[in-house]
Amino acid sequence: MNRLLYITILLISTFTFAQTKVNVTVDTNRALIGDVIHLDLNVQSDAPILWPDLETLMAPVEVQKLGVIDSILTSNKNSYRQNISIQHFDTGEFVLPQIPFVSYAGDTFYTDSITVSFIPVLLDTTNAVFDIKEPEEVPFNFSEAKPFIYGSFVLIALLVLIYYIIQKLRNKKEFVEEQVVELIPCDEEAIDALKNLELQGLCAKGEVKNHYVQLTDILRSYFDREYQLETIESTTDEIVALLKVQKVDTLLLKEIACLLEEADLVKFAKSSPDSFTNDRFMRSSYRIVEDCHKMNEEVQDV
Amino acid sequence: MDSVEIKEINEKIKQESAFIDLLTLEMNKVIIGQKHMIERLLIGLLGNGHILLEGVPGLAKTLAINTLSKAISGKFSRIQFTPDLLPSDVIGTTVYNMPKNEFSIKKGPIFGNFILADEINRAPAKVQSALLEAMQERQVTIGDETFAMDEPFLVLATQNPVEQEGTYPLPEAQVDRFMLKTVIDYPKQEDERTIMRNSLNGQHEIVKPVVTLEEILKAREIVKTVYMDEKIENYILDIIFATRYPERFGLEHLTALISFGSSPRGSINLATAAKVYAFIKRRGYVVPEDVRAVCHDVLRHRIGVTYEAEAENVSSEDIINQILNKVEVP
Repeated sequence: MNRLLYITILLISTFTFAQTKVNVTVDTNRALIGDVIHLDLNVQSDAPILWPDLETLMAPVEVQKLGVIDSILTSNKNSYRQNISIQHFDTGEFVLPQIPFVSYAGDTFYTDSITVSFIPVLLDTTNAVFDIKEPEEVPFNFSEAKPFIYGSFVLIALLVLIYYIIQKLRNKKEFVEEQVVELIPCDEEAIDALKNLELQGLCAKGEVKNHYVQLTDILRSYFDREYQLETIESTTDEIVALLKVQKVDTLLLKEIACLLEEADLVKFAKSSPDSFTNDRFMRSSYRIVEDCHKMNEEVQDV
Repeated sequence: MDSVEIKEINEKIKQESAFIDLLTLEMNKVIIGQKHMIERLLIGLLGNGHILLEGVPGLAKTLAINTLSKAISGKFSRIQFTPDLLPSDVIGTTVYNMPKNEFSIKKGPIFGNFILADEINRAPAKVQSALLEAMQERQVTIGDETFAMDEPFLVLATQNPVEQEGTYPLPEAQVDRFMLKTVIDYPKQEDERTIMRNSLNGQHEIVKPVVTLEEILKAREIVKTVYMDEKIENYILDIIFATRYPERFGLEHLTALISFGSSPRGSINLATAAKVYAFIKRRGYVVPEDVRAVCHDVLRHRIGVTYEAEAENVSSEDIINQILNKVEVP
């Protein structure tokens, strides 16, 4: 009777105490170098356990994929499952060590160790040597090409704009040149200005200085256009010297010098020539313009 | 001033400027070929200004001023500027007179009518400023006594453009006190032949006094009456303002080349020099030619050029030329 009681108590303890089962299975023990072996890890426990760091444990074998831990509660027991893919890039036999699972109570449960082998790829030396694979064609991706496409548009627009500006400037230049061509001849312009000055009758009004300032300005502008000089910034002596270089007739040059000197006297020395002198210089101005133009035309014809 | 008055001035000038021919002839006896320098000496003398002469040694700078003083019967002094020269060596000092047991004043060489400050940039700044103060103030104080300078008082300072080691270049503020800065060039080949022949023949002309100091002082007063029209005044001001604000005259490219333009002393001296030039040319009125003739000598030391200008080899002369070619002549 006592014996029966002991056996009952012992059996009760096996049912009442916590139970943990761990085991690992592999789909194959043999794989080619670089191929994947799938491990299936199953843990059944009615108490929480600590899950080990598998990547560290599996070294040197690489863990290619670590699946999520799946947990199922069945009849007061927790069942945990995880799929692991391992691979190795070296040949040989490797022992996957026992995987320890520590329970909350402090007990450690181990799986069995498993031996796996990675074998090399057999070379068929009887076949010819092949080239390496050709680069794969990458399909066209619009989002990648977008910056280049937009950049090209901007560049084209800039080039068009520059071309447009250059054309516009050229047209403007041509327009200015046309305007110059359309100007009235320098001698006619000077004669018109002299006639206009005469009509103003400044000398009669007592504005002799103003009359001579305008008279010299007309002659200077005429010389500038007729001989391409810069007499506006030149003194009387310089103007005479410049005209001498242009081979203006000596007598005419003397007349010009005489007129400019008289004008200087009026402008800078308050000289007030009589009406006869004013008239003489006025007539002389017409003659200077006509003769200079005539002579210059003759020189150009030669 | 009306036209009748100008005619009177013209007549007066024709009479009073006769000595210019005499003076020039007398100087040409000794100085051969330096017409420009002689003309500038006369401008300084009649314009009551001082002249800075720049030229290599041996171009008759000393001889020119010596001859001028002899021809005008004035007192000539020469001061050779050296690094150890003291201001008292120039202006004078007080010395102890033992028999009288008192300090008496010993006047320096600056007391004269024509002073040649030879190689002015070889003496330190304190000596330069002693001379330049006397030039500006026309008086010198020794001890506790002030002495007015003799009239006419013309300082002709020389500078050597080469050998700049160990020199004390004149500051801009002091250079500005010279009415003209004249650059002397070598004589022409024909002139140098004459100089050489005269020297070999031992031919030394004796310069006689042909003008008195009083005549010079009188001529100075007449120079003041030379008529300058408002148009000429505007022309001078345009030139001076173009050195300060070139961009206003369409010379934007000069803005970066000019560090500072001419001071008001520039316009005063340009007007004075133009009047003297008109006087020398026997005219009672100033024409633009007169302004242009003296413009380079009046302005070349009053325009500061920048480092950019120096790098581009642009001198103050080039700047003046560009300004004259741009400013409209009345």
